[in-house]
Amino acid sequence: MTPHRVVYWNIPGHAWMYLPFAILVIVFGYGVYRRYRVWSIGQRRPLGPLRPRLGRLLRHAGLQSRVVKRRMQGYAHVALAVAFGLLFIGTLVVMLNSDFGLPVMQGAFYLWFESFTLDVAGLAGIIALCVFLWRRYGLKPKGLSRQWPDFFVPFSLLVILITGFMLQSLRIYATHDPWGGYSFVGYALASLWGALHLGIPAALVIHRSLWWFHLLLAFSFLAAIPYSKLFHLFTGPLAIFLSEPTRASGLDSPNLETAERLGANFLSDLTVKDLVDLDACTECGRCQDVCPAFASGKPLSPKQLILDLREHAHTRPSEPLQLAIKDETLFACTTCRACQEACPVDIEHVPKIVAMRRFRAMEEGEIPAGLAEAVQGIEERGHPFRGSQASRTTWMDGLGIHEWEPGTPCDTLLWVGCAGAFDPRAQKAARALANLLLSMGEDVQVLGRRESCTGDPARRAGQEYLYQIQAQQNVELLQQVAPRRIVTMCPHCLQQIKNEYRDFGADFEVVHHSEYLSTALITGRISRAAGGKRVTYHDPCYLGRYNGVIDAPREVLAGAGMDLTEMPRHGTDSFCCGAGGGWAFREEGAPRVNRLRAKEAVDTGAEVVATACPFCLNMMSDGVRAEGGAEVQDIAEILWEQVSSTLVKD
Amino acid sequence: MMRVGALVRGDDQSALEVLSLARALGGDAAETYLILAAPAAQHAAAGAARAVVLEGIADADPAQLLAAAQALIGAAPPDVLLIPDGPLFEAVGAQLAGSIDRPAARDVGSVAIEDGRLQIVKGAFGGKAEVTLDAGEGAVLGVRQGAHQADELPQAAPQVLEFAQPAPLLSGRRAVRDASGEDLGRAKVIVSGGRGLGSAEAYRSLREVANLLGGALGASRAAVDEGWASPSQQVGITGQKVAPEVYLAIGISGASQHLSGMSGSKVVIAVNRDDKAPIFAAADVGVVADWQALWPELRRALAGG
Amino acid sequence: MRAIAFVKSILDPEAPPGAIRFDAGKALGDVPQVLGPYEGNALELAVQIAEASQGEFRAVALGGPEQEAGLRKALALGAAQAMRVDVPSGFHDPLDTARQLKAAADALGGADVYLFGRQAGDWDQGVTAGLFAGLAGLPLVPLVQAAEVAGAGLKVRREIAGGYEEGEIAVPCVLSASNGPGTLLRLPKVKDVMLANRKPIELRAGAQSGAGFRVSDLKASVTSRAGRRIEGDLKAQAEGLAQELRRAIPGIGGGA
Repeated sequence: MTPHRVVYWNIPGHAWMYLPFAILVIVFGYGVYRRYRVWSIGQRRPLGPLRPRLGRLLRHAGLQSRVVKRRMQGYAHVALAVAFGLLFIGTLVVMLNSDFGLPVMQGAFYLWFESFTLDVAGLAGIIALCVFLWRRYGLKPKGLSRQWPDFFVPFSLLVILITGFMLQSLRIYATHDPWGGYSFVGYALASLWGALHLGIPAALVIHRSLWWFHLLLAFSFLAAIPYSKLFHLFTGPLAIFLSEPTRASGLDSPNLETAERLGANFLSDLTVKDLVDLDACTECGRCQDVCPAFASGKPLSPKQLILDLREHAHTRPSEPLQLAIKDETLFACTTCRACQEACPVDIEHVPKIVAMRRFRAMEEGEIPAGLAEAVQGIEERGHPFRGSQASRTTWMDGLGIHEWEPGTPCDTLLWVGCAGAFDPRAQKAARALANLLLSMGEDVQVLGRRESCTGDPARRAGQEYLYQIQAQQNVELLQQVAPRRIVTMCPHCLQQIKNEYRDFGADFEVVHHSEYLSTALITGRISRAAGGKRVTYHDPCYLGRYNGVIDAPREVLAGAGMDLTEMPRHGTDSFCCGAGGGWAFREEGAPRVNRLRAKEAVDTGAEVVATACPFCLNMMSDGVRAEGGAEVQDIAEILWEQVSSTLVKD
Repeated sequence: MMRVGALVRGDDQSALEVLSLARALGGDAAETYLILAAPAAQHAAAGAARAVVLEGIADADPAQLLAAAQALIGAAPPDVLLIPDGPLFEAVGAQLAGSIDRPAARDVGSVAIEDGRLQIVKGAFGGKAEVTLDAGEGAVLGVRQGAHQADELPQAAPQVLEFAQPAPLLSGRRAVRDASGEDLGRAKVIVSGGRGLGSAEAYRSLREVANLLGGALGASRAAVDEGWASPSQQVGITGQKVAPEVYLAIGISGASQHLSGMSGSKVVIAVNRDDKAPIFAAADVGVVADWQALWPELRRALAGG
Repeated sequence: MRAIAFVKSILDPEAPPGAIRFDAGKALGDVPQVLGPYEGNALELAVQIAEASQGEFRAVALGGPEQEAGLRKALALGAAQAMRVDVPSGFHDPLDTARQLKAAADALGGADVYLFGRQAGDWDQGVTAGLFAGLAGLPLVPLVQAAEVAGAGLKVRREIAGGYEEGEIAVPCVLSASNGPGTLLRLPKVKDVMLANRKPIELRAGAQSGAGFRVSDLKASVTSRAGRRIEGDLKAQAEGLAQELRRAIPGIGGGA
């Protein structure tokens, strides 16, 4: 006899289940429609090429590559997802068999898939759910809330799985199923019933009532999906699919002359992606765990920001967003993008924050003190360093580096940036970099008086209008200069000229000085040095996370003969120095972000803390000094020190 | 011949300087006017010809000062009227000039009459420059304090005019002394802070320094704009001009208008993290350091002595 | 209430030393023109008075095209009208300036409050408000730190030695604005900046007077000092500085 089981065994009148099923479909459909209605008011953006989006979808949703970054709960999540995926397929098989009359529930397939594999899946699901519950209620991590839906969801899943096994065991017990051993969990339970001497008639009654309970619970659960965070089953992959696949900018460049409103103050000012994000959040709290603003006690948690916006979208969708998000929250963000890097479903927090800042800055003229002065400095003087007594060219006095003149060709253009020109600490780094480039015999030029702020601080502050003016002017100037390549000293300038200026017609070859120097070391145009100190390297957010430049600065340090020790958080998981998003120009109360990061650097025991961004350089210098630690230097300074001392020795 | 006059209030150093300058330019014919706080008698030493007495003008009310000045000058004002630059000029100088249709200038260092034309030298561009002006045939001039010698002046009792004192400029007025209570004008030591300090908290640390050194607490314009210090603490061309024994400038880059305000200091010590800050060019002793890092060390060093 | 703010754009007073050269009676340099800081204070008061009285304010400048920076800012902050009295850039006789501003103000229909900055940071004349008040026969409140509308007049706070004085004044009157937290110029809203860029600035032909002050020389003033530096690490610097302070101020430390 072919191995099989009787579908709907012991369930007379099982056809009644289509009544609750119909209700399920209606409730589910209405829930999806309700969410969709909110998404549909968002601004639509062209999708562009699909390949990178699908690739990301496969990695982040299919393989859950970000979920498993946190090992324990990550693998538990994968187990649960695979388990329910299999169980869902198992249910479809039942449907094929009974509703479509296809005799698939038999033979080896029945034994190995429908019985054995699904038992493994169910057991894995139970273990995963126990891990979840134990983590949330036993370990009580800060990022997880403990309200009733947080308990109800995993608990009801657990009940569904357990009752499933009970049903299986009662059937095996009552029918003396000859193939029961393949359903090993049910089989084990069945022997328990035997040991308890459960009567067959009682088993039948229990089985029948439990079946309906199991069914109704499962249906209720499915119906609840669009009304709970479980909806991430659908919105998660959707949010991943809609996320910016290249990460080049993440900010749009609206036409302000025609915009109906500058920035976002209503849901309809946000993009469809932004609104889908709100429903994709699973409240896992990973964004909050990595947020420098949250860690330093500022009134911003990226998770809470999304939840507050979600609440707003669901309860008062036509009211201004200002009701949901306070200014202190909005302007607390350093735009470091650690949250976006951590989010398993690619929620984009920073573009939302910047969009709302745009409204505050442009429509209402509200920019926090300090930052406002910096922005005004850009407007009036072309740089944000108010009170600086330097000129654009002070830093290069006596270096012998040439200022570009109109009508002359340009090979390598060093874009120094405002920090390199005006900030006393960064000037030293700029000089070291220029010396390195000159020592290579490069035909390197600078724009000098003609250089002007890229507009990055203005854009991050929400002053998009000023930013666009700066961007257009700079792109025009750079097109006129037409250098073969541009080397930037500041990752923020890199981000602008390389990525964000594309919206303004830029298409230049731009590299950060770490990339340029590491190439020069590889090709031997700078000779390697030896005998350096112990160093740790702080990844600037705009270099590492934004531009994926992780290895180059480390290669420069290796080339300088330094001995690298990593901080616990590095690479794309680096922790912000506290300067981003305009904070370099604001007064920050204690505890300061830079102190947190500096402590991490000092704790490595390194003699030198290296970085590759003038803002990080300043923040880390202040922080490390306060933590009583090492020297802080730009990688260019370290390399130049090492190389020039070798030159002297030779 | 140009008629030269001087209008002063009281008989402090700047008044004596201006009276002397008027005599130097106009000789014995110089017309000198004196505004006095009651009682008048002991002010004869100022050597002014005419005087009015104002009751209770401690707060230098502009409307009363202007009325007094107009009464003193009468219908035929001198061609050149010299006034000490400071509160008196601020209150009446330019307005008086406008009312008699004369141009006016302040922060005037030197005054000369050449070929019947007035030549003056005054500061410009926040003290970055000096401009020489051909000031034509008459003007009201605010004379910079300390730019001229105070000579021995003839002793004569001034003729005190009858004067109906008008109501003050503001009704229901209330004078409030600054909470800071700093008297920069008389302080022997001034500790001043600027934008380079970075925060209100850092500025507050200067209070302790001022206490340690027994000095007053001053500020740059930037620190006042940030709200760290009150306006009466501002040192500079448009704030207070100070001349202490020791001026300690912390986190002040040295905008020229600030430098002009403190240029009379005997010893200037500057702390700034920017080694190119112009304050160092105006300081006797410079320390290139971050104040927040230096301060704990300095406190220790001062206590250890 | 109607207010007129007289604004002046000047070579950036925060420009580093040496960035401005003085040559042939002119100040030159690759330095941006910005609204003078005290004129910014005056503009802020004009905005506040117009807002509080539900009135309006206008802005007037005298000079060449370089003056448009300040006037645009005034428009962005809500000025009902902006007017430039067209005279050549550079030094201008202060009495003539006051006369021409008075004529321009009259042409605009006059105002209840005339606002000036206490001193423009280019020629540092600091007399225009007074001359204007004297010509117009109006009371002048010098060095105003804050102003609010009180009935038909204004309640003002003005700087005096060692503190401030508050009281009321009837309009019309002239205020010279000083700096302080109450007069810090607000940021214009970007939407208003964009609109302001499309609004016209009225030109009024300046009268040729020829009389009054003329520049016969302009030169950079020399700063002296430039003393020694205390070098070394923080500790050495602190020791050196303490020593320096002890020498200059007898009897410090030890709670004296």
